[in-house]
Amino acid sequence: MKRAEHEIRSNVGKLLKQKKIDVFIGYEKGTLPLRTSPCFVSSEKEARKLIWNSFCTNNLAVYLPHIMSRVKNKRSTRVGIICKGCDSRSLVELIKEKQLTRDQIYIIGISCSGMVDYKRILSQVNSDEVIGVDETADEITVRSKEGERVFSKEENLCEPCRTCKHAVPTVYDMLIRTAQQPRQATTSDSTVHDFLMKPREERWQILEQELGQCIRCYACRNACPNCYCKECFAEQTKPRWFGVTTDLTDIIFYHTIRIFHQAGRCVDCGACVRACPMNINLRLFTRMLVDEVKERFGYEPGVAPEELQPLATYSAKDKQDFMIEPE
Amino acid sequence: MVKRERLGVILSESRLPELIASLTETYRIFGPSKKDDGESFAAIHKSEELALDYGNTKMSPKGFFFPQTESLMWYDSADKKAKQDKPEVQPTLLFGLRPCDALAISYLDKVFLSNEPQDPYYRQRREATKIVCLACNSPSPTCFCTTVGCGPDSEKGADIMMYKLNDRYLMKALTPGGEEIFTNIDVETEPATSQDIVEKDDLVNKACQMVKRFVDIDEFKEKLNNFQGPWWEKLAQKCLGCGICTYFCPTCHCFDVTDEVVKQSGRRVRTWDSCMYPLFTLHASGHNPRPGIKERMRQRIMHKFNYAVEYYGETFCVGCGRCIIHCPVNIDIRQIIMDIAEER
Ligand code: SF4
Ligand code: SF4
Ligand code: SF4
Ligand code: SF4
Ligand code: SF4
Repeated sequence: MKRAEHEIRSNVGKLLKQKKIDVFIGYEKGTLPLRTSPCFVSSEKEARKLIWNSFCTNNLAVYLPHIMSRVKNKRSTRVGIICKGCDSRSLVELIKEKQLTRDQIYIIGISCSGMVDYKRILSQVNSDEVIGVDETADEITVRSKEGERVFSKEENLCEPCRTCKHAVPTVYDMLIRTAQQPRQATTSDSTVHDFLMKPREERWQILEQELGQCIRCYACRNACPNCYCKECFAEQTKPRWFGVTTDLTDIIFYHTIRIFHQAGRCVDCGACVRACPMNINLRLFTRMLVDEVKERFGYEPGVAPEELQPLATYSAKDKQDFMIEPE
Repeated sequence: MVKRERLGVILSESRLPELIASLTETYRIFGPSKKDDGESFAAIHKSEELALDYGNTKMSPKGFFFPQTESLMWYDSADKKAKQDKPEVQPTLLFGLRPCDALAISYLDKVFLSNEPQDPYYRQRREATKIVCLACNSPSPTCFCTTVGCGPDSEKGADIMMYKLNDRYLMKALTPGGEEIFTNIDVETEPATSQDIVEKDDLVNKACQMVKRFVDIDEFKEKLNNFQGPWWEKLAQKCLGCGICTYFCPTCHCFDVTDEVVKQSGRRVRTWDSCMYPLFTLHASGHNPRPGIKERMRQRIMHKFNYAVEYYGETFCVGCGRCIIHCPVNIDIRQIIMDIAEER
């Protein structure tokens, strides 16, 4: 980790000094233990605050469409960014959707060994007592007033990392390897399958229970790199597609549409789930789409830059059994 | 009836069940609930359901008076009549509220009640509710109440103040409402002695030391008089523009009013709004005076630390730390305050 961090700093410093990039998006130390925070650096000196550890969870690709829509000189502005496997998959989709061009960005890819879910760890200690945290290749040590506790990374991974098959970035200009092996999941995720096996009433109950806690803060949408629309359907007023309240109908409408808008685009990075302050398991629903798209169209978002997006193309072989013929 | 004593009364912890039982005869009680380790306030029927050793609740208590979704009225153009939902106006106690949240409610009172017209929906619920506040013996690392004019023993907004001294509670009625609670209950107490007050002051001092005062807030406020300050752009850079910091904040009070109409009938609803959202202050013309994240972040900070001071003479941040804990990109309002204060 320390070596990777050093490499990031020196390379970003060089890139900025040589004016190969104008700004770099990375992570800095958070203000709370077990947290990091996205940061924007634009000088060699500032590059020294960049860090790398197992809590660099935010998907930084979320900032790019916004930055690109604001820069005046699109041709000559170049943004550097650090990408884990999942973040790079987001970039691939953003490029396919023409929100960026490849030559506007300089990607420092990092072969990723999985990120640790800080909320999961905090739920196992008295979070008010935590003073600091250290990490080794496989373990996280949390120091608190009550003493030290060691957690296995493997057991405390963020959910999508458990089943991640593309932890090495799918696009990059420079690749940094950490001392650990990149994550290469062999198991697949059974959550969706388990969910679908449940009787309908129970499925509805789960849906009600999960989404019923939603406070409509839109953090899930705003943390998602795919949700770059200048005007989200949730905010349109002419017409207004659905109500503004926290009644269950309105909440379910919001989530159903948002999740459908991710079809064939969701890279399963888990940014929405991690942003949610109510810890709602949104991935249950997005994961279902990911599986469905893979099964129907053989497409995995973000993996192959040349491949066309399934909803932006047509093949005679596309399954059509979802179409319903009028009787 | 609990007699009024100059220094307050002492209630042995073993009598807490009696206190709650006696209170439930007159009031509906909401308190930090054992069910989720004090993450939320829930209806309390017995003292065993209380988690009084909690830090603070996840969401602030503002929803008790100002719910996130509230039907203001129902109407039907056929009969040209509008009906109102009657908010529940049972006598209610918020029991064990933290001092920062009680202070925040006193600020909301100013917003919703200090000017004409008062907000009738807020008023009905507020008038039926009394607040029993519990001082903090062990503040959280994200608490910074002492920097913003609040503190672990802040009394403003409370009808009764409670301090936990080892296995006893020191209780003091601070308002006529608090006195009324005391006259309504029947539980054995003793008058507090000056020794108890020394013990209390000691605990309060310890608690205050645990809350770091990290900055000269006046210097920061002074800087804010520069609306065009160069810092906003940089501070807002990483913000996602979600509703978390404002929805979790106990003092944020912006709302939107919407008509939901189907054919001839409909309802008018009020819902929480946030200055971090793109629809906030969007004009019908399409113009928005706060078009981007920079202007929105500026509004949030300026409203709390500048405009509110001007309108109400109060800083609309009580230092509860909720926005710090839940921000998905770890934007820390303490850091914002420091960065602006230190900007040359
Ligand atoms: S999903 Fe894969 S690439 Fe992304 S953080 Fe987890 S292991 Fe790394
Ligand atoms: S982040 Fe969570 S609470 Fe906020 S809108 Fe999304 S699902 Fe709802
Ligand atoms: S919670 Fe954080 S990301 Fe969301 S609007 Fe507030 S400061 Fe921005
Ligand atoms: S601004 Fe943050 S710390 Fe201040 S009262 Fe609001 S939520 Fe609490
Ligand atoms: S304007 Fe923003 S900061 Fe002020 S009360 Fe409204 S939501 Fe809170």
